[in-house]
Order: sequence, then structure tokens, then C-alpha cells
Amino acid sequence: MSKLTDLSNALRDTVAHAEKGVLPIHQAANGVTTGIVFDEHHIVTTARAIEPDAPLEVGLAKERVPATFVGADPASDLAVLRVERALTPLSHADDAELGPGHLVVAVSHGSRGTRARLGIVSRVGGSWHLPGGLRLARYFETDILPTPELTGSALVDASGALVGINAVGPGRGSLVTLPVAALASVVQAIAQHGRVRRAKLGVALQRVELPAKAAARLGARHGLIVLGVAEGGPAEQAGVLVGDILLAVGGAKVERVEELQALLDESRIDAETSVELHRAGAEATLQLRPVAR
Amino acid sequence: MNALADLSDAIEQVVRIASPSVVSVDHARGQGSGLVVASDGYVVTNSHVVRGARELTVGVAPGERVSAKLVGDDPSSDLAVLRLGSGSVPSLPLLEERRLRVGQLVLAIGNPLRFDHSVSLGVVSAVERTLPAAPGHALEGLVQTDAAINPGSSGGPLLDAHGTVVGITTAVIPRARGIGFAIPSHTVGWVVAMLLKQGRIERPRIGVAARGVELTAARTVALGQSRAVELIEVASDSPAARAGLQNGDLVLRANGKPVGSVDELVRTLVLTGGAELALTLARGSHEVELVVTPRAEERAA
Repeated sequence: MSKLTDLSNALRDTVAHAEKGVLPIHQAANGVTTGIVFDEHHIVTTARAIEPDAPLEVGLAKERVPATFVGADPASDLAVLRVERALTPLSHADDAELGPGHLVVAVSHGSRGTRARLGIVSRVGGSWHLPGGLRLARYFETDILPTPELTGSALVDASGALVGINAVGPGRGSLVTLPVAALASVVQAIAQHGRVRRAKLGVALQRVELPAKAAARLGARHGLIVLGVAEGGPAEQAGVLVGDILLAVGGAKVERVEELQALLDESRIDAETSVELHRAGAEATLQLRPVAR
Repeated sequence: MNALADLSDAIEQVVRIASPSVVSVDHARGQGSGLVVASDGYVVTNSHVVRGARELTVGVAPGERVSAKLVGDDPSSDLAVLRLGSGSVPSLPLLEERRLRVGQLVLAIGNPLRFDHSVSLGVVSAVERTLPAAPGHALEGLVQTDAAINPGSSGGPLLDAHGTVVGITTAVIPRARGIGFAIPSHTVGWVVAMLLKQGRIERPRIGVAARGVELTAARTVALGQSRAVELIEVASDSPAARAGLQNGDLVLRANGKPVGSVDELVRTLVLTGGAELALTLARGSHEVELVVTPRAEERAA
């Protein structure tokens, strides 16, 4: 056998292995989409591709089994389904080891069957805040042509281990992959509560540059100016005023709205939290208890 | 380890070794990629990337930018050479001989859309492609690949599986997907050498329109080479016409060296600096020897 045949067979084996943990989800109205096995009973998919109230079925090797909709998180566009049948998740790729040039395969399911596409990791992206506040330490871009049906598909490495969930990057012209381990907190929250619980302060904010003196003293260039305070919310009760500039929450600097959103996870709900702010040329610290969003 | 994992690691290693030599080239009116070809700071990029630039900045590493000056520019081949103002950056070797074959795996590294390094994988789809370029020019003898080349990544290297530079990426056809082009390294090599020497390239003219052609198997055996340059039109009262060249002649050798593409004929013309050129032609079943005296390139006013 030639090396090319070996390579071709290895590629086929990789896809065949991945198919055990990447399953088709059938829905009468929406056709077929891709589901990724997360644990023994849970499957992750794209929230937009699923109709929560309509019957769902998951295709296993030889049969289709019914699935129930557990919940979704619009911020990360993830939905979780539950199947009363023991599933086997794929092992997770070591994403710290994965770098530009490594071979990867995107595996997706659609109305015309399973689709596999070969590519390489083009670039490893750094810290990224998803809308809604989830912070990823890293993400991947590949040279696989980003077509719409790849949204929610699985990316596997050369050994068939799961790298993450693919999203068609807005305007980037490349396929972006969110590492599956980084999404675990979202999936677990949906599996437990049916949604991702997040905390809020009850303020509307806008990022602003700090006055030069304050910036030098604080070692930060930006803060978040308060544009509005929700009536009866934690911020109003603590005495936050329109025009205050938020500098730090819970001891961590907030220079971007996304950074604040990332801080306000479930653990902050009803927990005593300090808010440092800049008001009329001076700094002040208030205490408040964020509420559930 | 399976064959796929082995290949994956091999590609990743090529990328790791080559990446430090790929730089971004920025100026007020454009942006692209470049390749360090000599470790004392010479960078090759596309002519179209530096067009209209006053002040050039080169990103040599994340967060590390140095100023650069234009050393030479050759719009005909879409190549330009810059010199970095400071710093030492590792260089990559250019493939010298023509051994690139259709089907070989290649990697493109560049900085598309001002993102930092981005790599893509593909195969050599074709060699010896010709593309219309700036008015009056054609890009000759290009390598065609399906490795993704995006705006901003042009000027970066196309690498073979050994990490050797086989070309400098140059262009994509708008709306076509999976069709990108690179200037082959054997062209890059002589163009860069001439640009370092004199800053621009004068192409003496002999007054012909020509194209590189593949010879039939029978002629390959008879003539001892597989390619030649076919003269499509010999301009009247040109150096070529005065020397006796005719439409349909096949140029086999120039100054004794086999030529298989217009690029090779032009290279010989440039390197002889406008002196007399001895051509060996196949005309019908005869071989003919002629001497042409080129005239200097006419420059638009």
C-alpha cells in the first residue's frame, strides 16, 4: 500500500471514530443538524438550529431515539438535549498542544448525510469574550471554507479527539472553533438549570477613557461610565449615580463591558461585592449584592 | 501514531520553523505580507503591496514593529524588496531548481486582513500559469494552488513539505474559491538579486509576443527538451525581425541555455544587459542559429 493510501485510510478511520461522538439530530421542521455528545446522556448543539417545542430525535448507529430539549443559552448559542440511552463522548484534544499547521477535520450532519472536511489550524486566537460574557482563553481558526452548514459542527484532530464546536466567524472568512472544555461551564449550567444563570448590577454602561490623572494613579486607561440605573436594582440601592465611572468590581479592574459580564457569573448572585468607582474627581467604594438576570 | 497524526505533526513543524521569517508589511494605503530572504534584513514582498507607500512599517514579531525602506520595485513581476531599519530576523531559503510538480502539498503563510500569522494547506494545482496583471504586463509562469490566499496574505511564502520556499503568493481571482497564485522561487531569486543590485529591472526588448509551450513527446525526444518558447508574433522592423525571427519559431536555447518559459527568456535578456543574444530555434524540422541585438526598454513618458 502506498503512503497516500495509508493516509487516506487513517483519515477515514478518524472520521469513523468521530462519528461515534458526533450525531445527527432530526427535527421535522428543521431537517438535520449536528449534535456533539457531551457526556453519557447530554448532547450539545446550536440553539438557533433547534425548535425547542417540536419533537426531537437523535440518530445512533442503527436507530433513531427520542431526545428531550433541556435548555439553551442564547448568549453562546448553545442548546443541550438529553437522551435516555448511554452515549460515549469523544475524548478531548489537548488544546494547549494544538498549533498552526496541525491537521483537523470538521464533521457535520445535514439532510444529505455526514460531511467531513480536512484542513489545518491556521491560527490560534487569544483571549476572547463571547457576547454574554463567557471568556475563552483561546480559540482556533482553520483554513476550512466556512459554509453555513458548518455552524455547530465538530472539529476533531488527527487522532479523532474533539477540539471544539465550529462557528462561522462573522466577517472573518474563516471557520472559528470554540474549545469544548471552555464551554463546559455553559453546558453544565444548562444541563442543571435549563439555562445559564448570570448576575447583574442593574446599570447601563459605556466604556470611556479615564481622566489622565486618574488613569496614571489607577494604572488603567478605561472605565465604564454609568448611563442609567435600574429602579430598585442593586446599584440603585447601593447609591450608584448616573455619571459614576466603574473602575473595579469584586477587586478586578473592569475596562471593558465584556470583562464585567465575565465577572458576573452565577457565583456572584446575592454575594457581597465591592464596586470601586470614580465620582467627581475622587474614588469611592460601595458594597452591593448582584441579583440573578 | 497513525499516518494522519504523523502528517499533522510534520506540517506543524514546518509552520513552526518557517513562521518567524514571515512578516507583515504596513503603510498608510495598504497592507500585506513579506518574507525575510537574507538575515541582514532584506524582505521580499509584492510590488502591489508597497504601491503608493511613503513610510513602511514591518511587523517582525508580535508587538515588534520596525521601519523599512524600499530597496527595489519591479511591477512586471509584482515583486519588491525592502530593507529593515534594524533587528535581525531569520531568513528562509528559496528553492532554486524547478522541481515543483502538480499535486505536491504546499503551505501558505501570511497575515490576512491584518490578523497575525495564518496558515493554509493545499496542493499545487498547476504550474506555468499566466495571468494578466498591470496594463501592458502579464504575470508569467505562476504556480496555481488551492491553499487559501486571502487579501493581505499575499507577499508571504508558499512552502513545500520540506519548508523550502517555492513561491511568493501574489493574487487571487475575485469570487473564485480555491484558486490562488504564487510567483515561483526561480523567478523570485533572480528578480531579488537584480533589485538588490540596481533597484529596478530594465527589460531589453526584441519585439516578439511569445508563450511557453509544452512540446509533444516526439519533439521532446528529437529536441532534447520538453518545453520551448513559441513566437506568436514578430513585430515588423523590430530587433527580432531584423535578425530573421519568424512567427511560429520555437526558441529552444538562449546563449546556449535551454528556455521553456517567457520568464526564462526575459531573465537571459535582463542578465545579458542588452548585449547580443544567441538564439537556437526550431523551425519546421530544422534548427536555426540567430543573433539578436535587443533595444533598451522603452519607458512610458
